[in-house]
Amino acid sequence: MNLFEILKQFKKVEPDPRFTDRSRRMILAVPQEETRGIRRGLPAVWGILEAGVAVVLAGFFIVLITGSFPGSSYLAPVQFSVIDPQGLHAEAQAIDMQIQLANLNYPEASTPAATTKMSPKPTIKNAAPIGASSVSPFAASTTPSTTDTTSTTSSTVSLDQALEQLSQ
Amino acid sequence: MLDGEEKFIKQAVRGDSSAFGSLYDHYQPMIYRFVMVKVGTREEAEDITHQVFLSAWQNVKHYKHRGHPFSSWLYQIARNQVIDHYRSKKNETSIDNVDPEYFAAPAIAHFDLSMKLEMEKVRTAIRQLKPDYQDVIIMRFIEDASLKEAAAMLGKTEGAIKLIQHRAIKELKSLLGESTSISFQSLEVEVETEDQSLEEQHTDESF
Repeated sequence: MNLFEILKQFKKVEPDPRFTDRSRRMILAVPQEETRGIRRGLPAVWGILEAGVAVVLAGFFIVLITGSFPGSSYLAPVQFSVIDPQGLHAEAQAIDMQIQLANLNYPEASTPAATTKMSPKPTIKNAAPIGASSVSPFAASTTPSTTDTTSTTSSTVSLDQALEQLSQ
Repeated sequence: MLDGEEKFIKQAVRGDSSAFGSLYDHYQPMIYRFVMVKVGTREEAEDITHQVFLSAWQNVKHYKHRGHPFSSWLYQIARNQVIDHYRSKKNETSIDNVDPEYFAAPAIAHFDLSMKLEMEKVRTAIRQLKPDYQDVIIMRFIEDASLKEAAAMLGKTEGAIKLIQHRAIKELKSLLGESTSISFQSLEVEVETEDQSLEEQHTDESF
């Protein structure tokens, strides 16, 4: 027998009329879900809100990225035209100076014992005949036997001198 | 396609049960056959067909015409229902525990014995094909859909349908094997001849 003919026979297969009738009545007796009202309205409103918020945020970020907002010049905290590059350079130099000063202050603030360990005594005694005039902050701790007051005074002098030299 | 289908669909979308009833009357036998070939028994086919139309009725308000015929929407629901059916069945029974007689399909009981046996062989072979192949075999050879109609109903291109059809027939041949007395030499030739005559018919009608 030909397969084509057999397949054609399947078209003669029909559902049982009693099943068809029963199924049809049962299906059409089922009420459709309510499509209007709050249950349908709320998700619709929420959807619109979501879409609106998404569009507004996207627009905001695009403007932020491109920097093409017309009122940005009024809202900006710093006007770029005011900034002087030379002044900025000078400020940068000053910041560097502060860092150096902070480095200078570090041994001064440290404990005398630690400072003693950090600075080898014989070398400093021999290498610094002018004593406190040395730029090195370690010069402040050349005499560990003296009191704290003395060491503080000598370090102050050395700092001042260092600053003077730097300013020159 | 049903006469005045668009009108019936619009009315059904608005909740008109009698309009949906007309759609049910027209498409129910097709969906039933589609399901019956894919599942084991008449009872299963009836249950799934009922579920398909119940689901369609409950969701018809969301139906939007996107260029495909209404039947493609129904076939899509049917495909999903069959998948769900097999998924749930897998958890319920093992094939080893079921009597083979259970699978005899009373839906084809009115055919003579030799035809019934041949149909059962073919149906068993079709059920072993991939779902896509099954769909194309059903559409093209059982429902007599043209390439264009099958493509629209299955949401594929005509070229894809042709390719699937060729592969499906090849696989069906190998599944039926040499043990059967069924011949399939002329299957594709006959379908092509039918397609050509259909095209000629359409051309004549357009003139």
